[in-house]
Amino acid sequence: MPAVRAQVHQVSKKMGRAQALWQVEDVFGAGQVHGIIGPNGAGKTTLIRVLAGLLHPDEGTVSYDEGGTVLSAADVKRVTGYFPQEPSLYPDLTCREHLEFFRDLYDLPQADFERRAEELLHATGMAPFTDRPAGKLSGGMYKKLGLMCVLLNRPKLLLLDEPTIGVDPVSRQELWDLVYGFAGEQMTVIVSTSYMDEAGRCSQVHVLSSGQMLAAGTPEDVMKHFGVTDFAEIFLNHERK
Amino acid sequence: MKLRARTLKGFFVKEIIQILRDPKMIFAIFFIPVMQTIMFGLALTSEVKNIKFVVVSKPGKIAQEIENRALASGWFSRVEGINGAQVEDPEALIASHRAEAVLVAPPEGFEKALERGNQSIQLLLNATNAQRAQQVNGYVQQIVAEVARANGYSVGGGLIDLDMRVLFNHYMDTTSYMVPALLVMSTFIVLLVVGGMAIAKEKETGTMEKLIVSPCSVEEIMLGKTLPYFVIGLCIVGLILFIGVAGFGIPFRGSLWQITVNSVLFAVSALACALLISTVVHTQQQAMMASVLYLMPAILLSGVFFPVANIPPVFRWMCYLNPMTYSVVNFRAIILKGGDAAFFWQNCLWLALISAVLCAAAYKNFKSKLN
Repeated sequence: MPAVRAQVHQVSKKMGRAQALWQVEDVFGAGQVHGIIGPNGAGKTTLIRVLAGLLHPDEGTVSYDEGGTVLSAADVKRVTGYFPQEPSLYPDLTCREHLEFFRDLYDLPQADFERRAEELLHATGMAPFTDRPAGKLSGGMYKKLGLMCVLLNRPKLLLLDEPTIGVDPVSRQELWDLVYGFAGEQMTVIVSTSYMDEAGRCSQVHVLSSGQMLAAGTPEDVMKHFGVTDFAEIFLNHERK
Repeated sequence: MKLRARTLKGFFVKEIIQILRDPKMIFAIFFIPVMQTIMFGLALTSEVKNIKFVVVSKPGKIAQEIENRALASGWFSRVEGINGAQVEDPEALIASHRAEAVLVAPPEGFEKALERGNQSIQLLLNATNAQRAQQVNGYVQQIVAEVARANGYSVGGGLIDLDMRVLFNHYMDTTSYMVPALLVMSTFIVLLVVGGMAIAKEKETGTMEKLIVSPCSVEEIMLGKTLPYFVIGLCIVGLILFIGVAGFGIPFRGSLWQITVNSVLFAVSALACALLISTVVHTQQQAMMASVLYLMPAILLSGVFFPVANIPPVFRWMCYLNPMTYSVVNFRAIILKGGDAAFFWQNCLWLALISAVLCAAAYKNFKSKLN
């Protein structure tokens, strides 16, 4: 089963008085890791939430297809995983109880669940902490648990909203390794970030500023397009203009 | 509509674990109803007792008998240090709060007054609490009439001699009257507050978003979040009924299935209200405040404390829209009278109708908010 491709067509969205997105036109190809980069307030979270179906665009449409077959809203819900900026977990439930609750939400067969949970616990190094309540986990481990709950369903479209914000460099590296480990032909990953050094890890970069999509392509192409050697320069130059 | 048993079970287990790990929740769910039952059952009684009573008269047989009979009834108490024959200013006794009721005979004594029939006997009452004063007035009149009759005087001159019989609650015991209403009130309070806060908590902490983007349906989220509290609601009804029957010895004349049918219907209506509140609030604190704002008029306009028939017609329609009203009369009828079938089903029908409307509104609002 191939991964999901998402297409955003002329999407505009106002959040309160601010125009968070303005006529955004973009394609997120299947099976790739896409990075939406931009400074704070660029509209990254709004775009991710529109893609997750949590916000409806004021104008424009978002469509999803899987190997050329257009997906219905219910299908999209089934194959999408969303990891919010503040991954909210139940502080009084343990890691294992979280995984079991999400197993029931996804209606996973027990055998699949056992296998996947084992794999995820091993990959994240969380196996020794299965009985620890989420409220007593460190910042990095808390995010890993949030990611595990999303990955348990093996989504074909994984949306990550600034997953590494507020996390130490070691945990950041581990989270990226985890995402890369699962990304591939089966999974499209769309990740927003305001850390410019993370943009280089993505196969496709989408540059968002003040709600507008400035450019999209491979990191090299994007830098060439703007004539810069560093992603931060793009926004600094844009600000100066 | 998509409903998967597995998902509902997942919600159920998760909610129960969360409740069991939170001492505040256990306190709210079980301790509050038990406390309310004990408080209302023992302390809060509308029976008028401990009336400080003085009979002002020159010494005589009737005066003595009235006083004896009053003290023997258990409603009145003697005022120490006061001799009725020596009181100069009966009003001062009331004004100084030394007595609450003072019966004043004419100067010639009770005997003469009763013989002639046209001489009035004066009763002075402290009527700062009008309701209490009315009851005291009734008691005193009854005692005077009894004493007069026992001594061969004809009193009142009325043609009809009332022979009163008290049915269903022979001792006119407030506890028997209050416990059935408490079943409704306490359960409603817990379901509305705790159920509403549990849903608001998911919104406040952001976990609701996770549920929305997960493959589970709106119906599964709604039922999954309310079903555990529905079961808890039925447990609370059982607990209060047990305390009422085993602890306070209230009579249980009806059948359990009637209690169950009625409890199911009103638990559904309470949870529908909780869902409706949760659609308009964003935090647990707001949910709590909205519940309290709803509960105050809902309890006062339900017949728990004041009979619905006493409420002016302008406001009475609110009582008829209140799901608690039907449950209160039904529980009282089931527990104290044995539950007349026609009366029971009539109330259940209204309750079911209101619950259905509330559920439809909650479903529509919840769905549109989630989408």
